[in-house]
Amino acid sequence: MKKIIYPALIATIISTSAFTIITGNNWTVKEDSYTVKFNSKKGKDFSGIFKGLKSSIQFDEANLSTSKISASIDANTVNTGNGMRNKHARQGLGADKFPNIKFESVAIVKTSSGYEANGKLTIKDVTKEIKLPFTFNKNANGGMFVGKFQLIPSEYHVDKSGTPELLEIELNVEVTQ
Amino acid sequence: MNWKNIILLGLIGTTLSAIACAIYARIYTQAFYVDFSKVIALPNMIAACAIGCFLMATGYALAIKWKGEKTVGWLNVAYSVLSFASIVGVLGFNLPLYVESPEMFPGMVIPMHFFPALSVLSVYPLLKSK
Repeated sequence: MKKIIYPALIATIISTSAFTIITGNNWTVKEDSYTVKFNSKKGKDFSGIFKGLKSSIQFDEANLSTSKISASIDANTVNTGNGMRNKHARQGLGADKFPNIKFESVAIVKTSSGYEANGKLTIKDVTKEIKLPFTFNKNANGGMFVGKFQLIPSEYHVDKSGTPELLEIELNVEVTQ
Repeated sequence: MNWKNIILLGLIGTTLSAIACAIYARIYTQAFYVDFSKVIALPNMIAACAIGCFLMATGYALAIKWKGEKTVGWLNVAYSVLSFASIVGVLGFNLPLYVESPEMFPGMVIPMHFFPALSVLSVYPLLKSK
């Protein structure tokens, strides 16, 4: 009997602790408490936002090697505050054919100002490696991821006339556990 | 046309066009499930109509004083053309990013740009005959 009880007990402890670790690192984005904003830095001057963020965030400040961030946004939700420009932007992003803009981290490392997620960003039919610097502020109810990076739209085949030459992407994502 | 009639024209024009704007905004909002009330509230509509109508009424007074009644026809054409030209501003207007469905915004605002001219052009012959 002891032969069965001990392995069962060990298995229970291991599975329970593993479950605890996973849930402890998993973060859920609070609905409507995030912004994915872009600002033109060179070329035509305008800004806009995206909605429809779907993400899977496993982030542990004490254990970055197991941390992983995957996220996608709906390209059709682009809003620049102007209906005609929205249509233009959707066409530029090829939103009909490529409805999702995706990011998947490969590694997350600590930096002097916070963290950096090295990963692959896919826009339209192009996937490129990028470095996404971000900070994470934990609070009683969850936390806040804040990140900012720049990209050149033409490198992702987003080159419709009027597209800015350089964009700055700002991310403010409120999360709960 | 005396100054009393000019002010009356401005007032009646403002009232009629503001009522038309308010009714049209309500119908449009309910028909298309959009909400632009944070961008164009009723006081803004009334103020815009008042500015437009009083400017047009003053235009009549100055034109009549300058060249007589024969200028009124050309002035009416100018008011129509200016109202039409003003829609360019609407097409290029950037709404705050929190406002959803900005592509529905011109459909609501462009017709409103014609309401002040419509009301002033309609009321002017009635006041002139007095």
